[in-house]
Amino acid sequence: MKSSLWPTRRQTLKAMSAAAASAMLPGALLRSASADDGSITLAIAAPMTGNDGAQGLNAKEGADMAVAAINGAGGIGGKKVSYEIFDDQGSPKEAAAVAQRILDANKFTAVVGHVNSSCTLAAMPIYSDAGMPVLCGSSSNPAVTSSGWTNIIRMTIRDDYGAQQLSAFAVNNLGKKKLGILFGNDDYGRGLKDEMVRAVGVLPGKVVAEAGFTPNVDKDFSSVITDFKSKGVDVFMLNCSFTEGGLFLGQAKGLGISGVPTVGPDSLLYDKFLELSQGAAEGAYILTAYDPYAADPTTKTFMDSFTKAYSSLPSQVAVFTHDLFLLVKAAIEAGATSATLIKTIKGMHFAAAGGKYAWDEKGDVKGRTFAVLQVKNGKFASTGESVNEAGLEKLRG
Amino acid sequence: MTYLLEQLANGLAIGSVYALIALGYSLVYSILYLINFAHGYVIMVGAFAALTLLGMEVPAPAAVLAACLVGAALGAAVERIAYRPVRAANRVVPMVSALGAGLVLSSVAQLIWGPEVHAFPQLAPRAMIGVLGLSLPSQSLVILVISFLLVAVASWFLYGTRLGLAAQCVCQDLEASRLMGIPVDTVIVAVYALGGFFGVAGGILFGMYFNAVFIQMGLLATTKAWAAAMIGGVGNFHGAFLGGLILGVAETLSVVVVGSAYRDGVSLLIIVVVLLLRPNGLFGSVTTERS
Repeated sequence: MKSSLWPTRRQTLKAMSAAAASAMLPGALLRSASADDGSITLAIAAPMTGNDGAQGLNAKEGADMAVAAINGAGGIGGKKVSYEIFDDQGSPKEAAAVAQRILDANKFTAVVGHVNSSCTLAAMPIYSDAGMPVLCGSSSNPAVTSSGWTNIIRMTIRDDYGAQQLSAFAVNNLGKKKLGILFGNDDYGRGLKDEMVRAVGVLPGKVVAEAGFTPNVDKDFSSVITDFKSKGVDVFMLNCSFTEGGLFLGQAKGLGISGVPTVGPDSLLYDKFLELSQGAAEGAYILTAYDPYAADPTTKTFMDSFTKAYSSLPSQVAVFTHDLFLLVKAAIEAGATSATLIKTIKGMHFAAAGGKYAWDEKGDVKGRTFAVLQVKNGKFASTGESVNEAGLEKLRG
Repeated sequence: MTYLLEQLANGLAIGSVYALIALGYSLVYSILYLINFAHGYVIMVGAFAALTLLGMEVPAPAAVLAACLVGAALGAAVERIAYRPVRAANRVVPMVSALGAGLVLSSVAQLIWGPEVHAFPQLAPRAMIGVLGLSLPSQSLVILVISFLLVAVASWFLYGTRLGLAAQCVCQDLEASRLMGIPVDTVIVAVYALGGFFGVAGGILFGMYFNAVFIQMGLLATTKAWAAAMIGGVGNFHGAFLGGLILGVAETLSVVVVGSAYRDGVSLLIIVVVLLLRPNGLFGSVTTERS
């Protein structure tokens, strides 16, 4: 989820102090894959209150869909699956406390969560010491899988790889050479922008213009647009929220500039983007961690039943939480216990509502690229394309 | 060169929007020596009123006029509720009460229209127009022309009508004007109402230029217009207008020279320098304040 690309010093300190605290506790307790009553219980760690409260609700909705599907089909090897939710409030401090409570309960097969990267990073040392498997959906900070923890896998594409894919799509898929990047001038936006620029460095293209803006403050992009135009930008890279992205395209149209291909991340995937662009978003490409409009029957069935149950499209958190529950089922049916869950999953090929997944040694999804959506006739639609990552391997030793 | 001129046109367009908003400040300040901190919020509500009316299929000219009248009514109401009862108090008091009135307007607007950014419909046709070998967007030209027209109208009001004359008298000496039979309260309400009227016109141009209206534009308009008025010389009617243009051009040029991320920093630095060198603004004259 949105957080800085790299852990801040405060996050690192928190993670380190959490690790120190957990080291003083009694050693890891042994757990079996099922609790005494013969059911399999998972812990969901997500923000249920606070600014990110909606994310926790999304996780719950995704989990409910999965639990209904699993138990309706006889459970996992005859055992019913259930879950308990722990509220980390989106705060790293609370996340560390939540991690300890989950371990103390001594009845959970695995943790599904956390949502915010800062929370996952704060809680991981505690889970890691106890050997608790962590199935993470949406934490996209690279440090989540590159800190040496062996008890975690995640579903989403890490921020740095994601940023590289945005550049690769513009250069390799669209064949554009002159990129103009608009980015939010904060920690997160700058981190993504730097990674996009680094990726273009190993691709046959060039960043000819870049422009930062103050998120939620700047609304006038006309001088930036004139600047992009004069520098011959042939693809707009909108690394920003739907508000700024929509305003940028609408104002570009007002300045007589239209038809320039546009590429952006899933922060643009809101109807408000289309409204604010006043028609200029037509044809824009949006790269997302999963494809909600995929023609795949599994995805389609899930989307339809989710939309029917909650009258909205599932968010990324809902889809990944849903898929993680199914993944636990698949892994346990393949013979995994709580202790071997992560190891088993890393050897699996798995498909569910969010598409196909496989994992590398670190726990990152491998061979999985962003889904490419496009605005067609004023609506978001799947293109079925995938990002051509040719050249990026140089950055990923 | 073409690039610089095109950027200059961008700067003049956004600058003339700032200028029009600064006008409302200057009107009030030039007469009462009071900063109307509610002004930005009044024009924000006016712009939203225009959006709502346009959404109800009201013809554009009628919707714009009605929204400007809403602005005038709000301006008058702010004067009546937040200023007149404290007019005789220390100068800080009306400033604070106006700020309070502004925050109330902002909260009410958020309750009605929600916190998100709303798309604003295009009221003028969009096309590129060739001027002296440059290709300029029709929208910027329309905004420039309307701004200049409105400034001319405002000047005419202040210097060419009996009401304007009365306003100047009130400005020189409130008590003496009252003794001479000038209906002081009416004149002051009229000035606030006019400030609101022109401000909302500026707010609608603002919406057209940005393609959007949003709650925070109240605060944005307040800071930009106040900065413009400071550059030009607060209380100097034409100075405020020129100040707006200068601010717009300075913002645009700072994008060209140092990059868009530092726009506000650079333009505000210009204001600091101007005020250090000329404390009364570029076009302000040194006046001794009456207490």
